[in-house]
Amino acid sequence: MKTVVLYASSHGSTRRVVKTLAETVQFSFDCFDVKNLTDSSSMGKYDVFLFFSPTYGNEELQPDMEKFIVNFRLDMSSKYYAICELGNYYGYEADFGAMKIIRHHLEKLSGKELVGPLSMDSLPKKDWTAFATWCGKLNQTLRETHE
Amino acid sequence: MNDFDAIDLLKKKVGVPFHYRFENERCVELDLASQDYIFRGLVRHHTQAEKSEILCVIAGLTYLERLNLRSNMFHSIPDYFGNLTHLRYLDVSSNHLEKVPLWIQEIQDLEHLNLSANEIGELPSFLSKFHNLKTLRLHKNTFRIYPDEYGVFAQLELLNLYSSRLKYIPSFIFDYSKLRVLAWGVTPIAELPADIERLQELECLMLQCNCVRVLPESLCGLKRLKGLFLLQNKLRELPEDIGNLEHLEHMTLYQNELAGLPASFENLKNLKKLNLAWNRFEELPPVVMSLPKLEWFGFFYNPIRGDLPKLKHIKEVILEK
Repeated sequence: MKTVVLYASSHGSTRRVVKTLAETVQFSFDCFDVKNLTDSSSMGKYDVFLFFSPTYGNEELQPDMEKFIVNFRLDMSSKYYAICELGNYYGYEADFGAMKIIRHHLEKLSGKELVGPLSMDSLPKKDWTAFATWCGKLNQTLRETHE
Repeated sequence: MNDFDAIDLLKKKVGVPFHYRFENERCVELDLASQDYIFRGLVRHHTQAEKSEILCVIAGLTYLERLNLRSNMFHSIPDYFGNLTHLRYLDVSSNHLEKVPLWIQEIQDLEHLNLSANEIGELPSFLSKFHNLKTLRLHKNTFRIYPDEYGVFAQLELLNLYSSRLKYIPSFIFDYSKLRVLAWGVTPIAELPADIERLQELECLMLQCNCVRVLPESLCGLKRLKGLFLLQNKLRELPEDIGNLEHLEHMTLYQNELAGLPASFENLKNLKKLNLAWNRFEELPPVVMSLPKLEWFGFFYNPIRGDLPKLKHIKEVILEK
């Protein structure tokens, strides 16, 4: 399963999480900051898409990710995705932001969710525990899918 | 152009359905944002030229009383909007405004203003002309000063100053005697002033992500409080009489430094949702077992020793994330 990580980061926080991903998971992947991608035409070769994005403003996507996702037109019917959003704390009010927008778009493209999304608290402390658990799920699911 | 023609023209230019309302032959409400659209702002991805044309048409609707331009990535809203003097509700949140538009001062009697999630670095004194302002949302901007002139907002019922760059809570905010909702967050304040008790109408207090270590006992005098959101602070204890907040329904203390709860907590008989996750509890506070209406309970990331008792009386319990 050829995997790609697509992330957006304005101030480096999400980039740091992506860097930690590389140190935590047991599979290889290509990695792109979406601000450096002009379109999704080169994405057809991937089977698994891992999205990382902070939530901005009032329930919005980080601007680079928004620009990328509205132009992301790939047929995802035979592909998998997983989403990690940063910036929302886990509580009974949480159901908004980057994750919801990206998921909405990928569902429209008929993508299949590999593992459930992670809403990672990042302010003032990053929730590395939840992140490690989520990476564990990615490892396991990709291993099983491969088998 | 009359208002009917203007709305017909807007339908063509916006390209998707939007809310508007007429009274007689005058358009009095217009929303270019929708909860049904995932990006909210209906012209968010239009070109700048298209947006300019749309704004030009809207400026002709001079009897508008409600205008919602939220989340459309407008970088500015032109001065000719000063024609909209009848506005009572204005939402220009989640755009890229660097200044509060000057034309707002031409409005006669604004009651609801939402300027949140922009890049506003300074608040103008002219907003103080709106003595009847009931809701003021200024959160997620970059201003550092909340002007003293804003002390005139005696009718204010909601004030959101979350994630601004204010260093302290101006004392005159505690003179807003009709305030029902106050949100303040992502600032270095370590104390909540005892004057908070003067806000006797307060129903919801949000103090997310500050450095608050101590809460004043006077907080317990806010008898109408239904929601108390104190997440991501540095609280080590709660006021002894917290149980006096007998109408409290939602409380989040997520990510503090609490190891216990006061005995009076058991008096919070109306509490439905309680988040005690990511604190320093080594055991379940026994009072949690005696909250009859509790239906959501978060308790993950606590250094629990031993097993927790069964919590079957609570509909949703989050012990792991």
